[in-house]
Amino acid sequence: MSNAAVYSVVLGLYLVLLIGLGLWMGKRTRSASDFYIGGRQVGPWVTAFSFVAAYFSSVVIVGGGAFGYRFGMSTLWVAATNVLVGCTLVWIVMGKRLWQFTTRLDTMTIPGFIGKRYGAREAEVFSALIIFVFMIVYNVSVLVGMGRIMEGLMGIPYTTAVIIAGLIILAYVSIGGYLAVVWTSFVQAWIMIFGLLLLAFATMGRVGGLTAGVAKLAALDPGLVETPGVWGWGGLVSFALIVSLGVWGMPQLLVRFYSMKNTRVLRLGTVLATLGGAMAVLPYMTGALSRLLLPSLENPDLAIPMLTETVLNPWGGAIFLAGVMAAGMSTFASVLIIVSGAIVRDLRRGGATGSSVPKDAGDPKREVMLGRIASLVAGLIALVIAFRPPALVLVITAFAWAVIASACLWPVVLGIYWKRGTRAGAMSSMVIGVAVALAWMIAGKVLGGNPLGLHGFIPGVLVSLVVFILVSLLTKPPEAVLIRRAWGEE
Amino acid sequence: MGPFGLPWLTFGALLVVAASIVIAIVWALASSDSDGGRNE
Repeated sequence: MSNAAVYSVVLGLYLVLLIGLGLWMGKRTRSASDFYIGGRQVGPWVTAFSFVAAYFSSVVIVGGGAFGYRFGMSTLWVAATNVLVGCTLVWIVMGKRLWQFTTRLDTMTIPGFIGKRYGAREAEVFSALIIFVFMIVYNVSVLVGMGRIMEGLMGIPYTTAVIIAGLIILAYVSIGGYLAVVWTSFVQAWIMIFGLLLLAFATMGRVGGLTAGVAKLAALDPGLVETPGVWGWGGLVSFALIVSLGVWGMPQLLVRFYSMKNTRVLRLGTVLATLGGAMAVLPYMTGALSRLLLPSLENPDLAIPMLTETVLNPWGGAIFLAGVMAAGMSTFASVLIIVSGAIVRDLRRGGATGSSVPKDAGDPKREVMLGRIASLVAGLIALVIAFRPPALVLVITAFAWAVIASACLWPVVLGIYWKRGTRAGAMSSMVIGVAVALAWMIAGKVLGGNPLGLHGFIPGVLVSLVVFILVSLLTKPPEAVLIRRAWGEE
Repeated sequence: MGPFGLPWLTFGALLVVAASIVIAIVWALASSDSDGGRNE
């Protein structure tokens, strides 16, 4: 059997499993709450591992390997920050409060939470629009990544690969809603972990073990094993912060906290998410060691795909490919349900703040149908753009994570910890945070390098924090009724 | 040099991963004690 045939068999079985899960969960989806947050009935194992799968997209696996290849073992610090800040601390600091606040305020989306917490319809619409635009673009990049990998390893045309991957995700998300997303992500997390372990151990075996591999890397260039080594502190620290602190403002990850069936889920969930997140070490370490086996790669993005063909047999390679696909699909699906919520719950409904609620609000069947249609439309838009992504879309993709985090991070974090945070503070923080992040990245494109060597995320979140605090302190405190409701003091 | 021939500063990243797991377990046990197993 040819390599492409083996890959097709394994991937075909895997995709059938996903469709099956989508159909099964579709039967359990009867209301908007089921469609968007699984009826707040999700337990610790599924919550934790679906969080990890949504966090680590195929971009992290393939891109992480590329960073390891270029910068060596110092990239282990990116993985360490992912685990500590992006998994353990976010669960401890955000989990319980976000569950409590969204339950008290009866919201199913992050824009909805912002709208009700601050009594600010304009902030709800603004954050929903940011999510709608930038998450669709983010999903284009995930689809492009999956399409390229399938094209390279299975030998099928790129467009066909994008259609297969995109339509299968659309099918299970639109049928099964959030429950399909978290259950497929749960399965996908295990496939990712297994695939990454397989590749890591095969690579270590080929280079004579980790200690021998590190010694050979050091002989090649000591900067490949030292910290910060060939990367330098500026690049290492800012990249680690972007991909870790950004989680605190990403709606597709925060939704895991308010879909839990109760706050006890957090105890086991925090431990499981930390253990699952520890897999982030593997792509960076494997990428660093791959330099010994593939010493003259012109494009480091090829490090992981080429390593797969070099150290794994076709069946192992097929399982790893399924893991990479799993990473992309779980992220794409998680984002899709968030975009659908932004359209149906926040932009269309007249908002969580309750102004001009449409006549059909409250009809569960119609709400679920609208959610399905919105997720289909959002997915199809990403799919069509991914066929031939314009250069502008690929440029915006690099901004997406920074812009969404700049808009949502502080209104959410301070919204659950600081009673003095006001409507004007939240809105101005979002607008100025987004503007600074965008301006910084555009300046980087024009100047041929980011100002001060910093990614737009760093100035975006710093400025939005300062603006939030200053404007809140300078404006009238929020109405007592809003605070009592949010803090459960009624 | 630390374990696996890694400089201590680089090996520190793996220690942070291990410390995160310990923090998660300790927090889970402590929050279980503090709320007496109550649920919300």
